[in-house]
Amino acid sequence: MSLARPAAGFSRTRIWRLVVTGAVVSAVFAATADAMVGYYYAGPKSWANGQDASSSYATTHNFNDMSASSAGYDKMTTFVDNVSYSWHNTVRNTAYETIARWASNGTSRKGYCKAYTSLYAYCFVGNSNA
Amino acid sequence: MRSPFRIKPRRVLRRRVLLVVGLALLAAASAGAVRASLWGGPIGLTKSVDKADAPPFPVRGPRNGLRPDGTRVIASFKAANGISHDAVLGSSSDSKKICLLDVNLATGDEAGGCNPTDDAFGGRRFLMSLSYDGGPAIGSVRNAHIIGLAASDVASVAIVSSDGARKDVALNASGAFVYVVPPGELKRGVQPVAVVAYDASGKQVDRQATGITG
Repeated sequence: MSLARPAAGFSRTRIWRLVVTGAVVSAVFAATADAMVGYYYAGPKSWANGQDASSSYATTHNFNDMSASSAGYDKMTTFVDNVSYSWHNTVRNTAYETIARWASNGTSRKGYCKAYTSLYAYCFVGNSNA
Repeated sequence: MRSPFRIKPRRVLRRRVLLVVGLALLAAASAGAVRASLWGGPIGLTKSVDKADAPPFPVRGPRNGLRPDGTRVIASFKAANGISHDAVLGSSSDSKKICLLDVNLATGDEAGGCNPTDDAFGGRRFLMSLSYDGGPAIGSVRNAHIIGLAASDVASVAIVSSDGARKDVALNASGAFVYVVPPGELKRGVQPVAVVAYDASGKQVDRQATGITG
């Protein structure tokens, strides 16, 4: 790999530094973009009837999912804001995946999930626009 | 004053650049591995993660019938606050799951459930979801409603409330049903506690518990 003779006042070293900086920034961006997808805030694990779990608060959470090992288990997901602690877009069903999506609106919120029967499941919160 | 940046020989710089580029590629690959670890996880995040995979159905296209993205509106209704909703049926981005979602047409918010494509009802005779805002105390719950889709052998569906009342809900041509919980009932602490399905002979073929229990 060779570079053409640099223009006056723009040394080869500076060009290399730009290249290196660009590569590092690209790498950090790629890693960060994936990290914003979301995370499992509970499980996979066995749940007792009535057991619940919460994620941490974030303004970016807009997708909350509780998935069981199979369909037929009664469970619920919702978002809880950290001002009034009210629930938003709550959903309860016995589907394999119980999902709620609450559009980002600047409100800090956490994912919350609850089992209404004994089951094996996990809960996931994330940002679907990442 | 001496510059803090020492001028390196060209060969050393080239090695450094190669090293950084290599590290960048490694970081990108690791990020991909993290993403790959989510495969099989939440619907809509089962492929790559970008707007096209937003879970599960972006609200767009015609209000009724088949949407451009292949999803289908099986019922339309107004929630207790007057906002229009669609009950939308469609498959996940990887086609492995089929989902029934309650879509708020004003906000795009979605709530519902998904089952494997080859077992859309999850071993039951209907797929349904109760969704609402507010709570957890029942007195502060708003806009509660149930949407559902019944199997072809289901002839009728009823909602059982906590006060013992049983209300028939209509099945439309798609087998979909909607029940909007009367706000007055919620204020009195009355809530749906079960959805029951019957076949043509009146025999109960399925019953699923539900409720706003906090």
